[in-house]
Amino acid sequence: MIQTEKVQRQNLNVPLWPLNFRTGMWAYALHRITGLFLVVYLLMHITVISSGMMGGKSAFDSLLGILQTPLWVVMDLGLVAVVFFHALNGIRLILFDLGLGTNSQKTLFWAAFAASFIGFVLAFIVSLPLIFV
Amino acid sequence: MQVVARKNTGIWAWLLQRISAVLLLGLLTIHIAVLHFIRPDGDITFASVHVRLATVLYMVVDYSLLGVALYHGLNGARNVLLDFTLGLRWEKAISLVLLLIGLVAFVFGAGALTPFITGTAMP
Repeated sequence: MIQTEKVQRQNLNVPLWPLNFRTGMWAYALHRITGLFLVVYLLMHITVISSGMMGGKSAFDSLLGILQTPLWVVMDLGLVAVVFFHALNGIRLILFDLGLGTNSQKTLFWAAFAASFIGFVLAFIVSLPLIFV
Repeated sequence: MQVVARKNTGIWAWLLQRISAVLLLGLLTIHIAVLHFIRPDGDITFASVHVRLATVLYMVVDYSLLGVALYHGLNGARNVLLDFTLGLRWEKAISLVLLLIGLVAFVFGAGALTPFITGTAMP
């Protein structure tokens, strides 16, 4: 039998933008925003590649040809930056779940942010030959 | 007073979210690295992907990536949505819709992967 409990209905008059938006709140918000973006991207990615495949080999090849032009390489770079941040902040969260590093939450957030920025710069450097063909 | 379900099924979702996250760290690294670095001299084409994907290792990696990424993403979206305490019926509806999206997306993705393995597709 499912245990049910009655909870107080959420007070809908709370401000959506709380006044005390500090580092931890930004980390939480960014992690969720990047996560939602990545879910939407993932569903788009599956749709695009599947519909390319449904047209057969030549349709797939022409689709992939378009997706490797400089504009799309730049957009892929943006995607990589988002993935890096979400992954590194996620590692930070798993560390906290294991009880490690909870005394340095802000430091670890900035470390994750810096690491994802460095990762983005590296990805940019690696992708330069593809952008300026 | 809203009635909200409180059963201990949340523990698996919580744990699988973390497990899928760790798996994705590895799988996504492979996926991005392979697509960027291990290209034969030419661009990505059906033929070049077919050469790779016909091997067991890539089949395992790619199908797992599809399933694990869909689970992690849609479960994450479910967490965000369920944080709005909407009541039991909404929670069930949201969970069901996300599950259906995941299944449909998995079928689409698997359908897109299979021609690379069999090598047969319309020219």
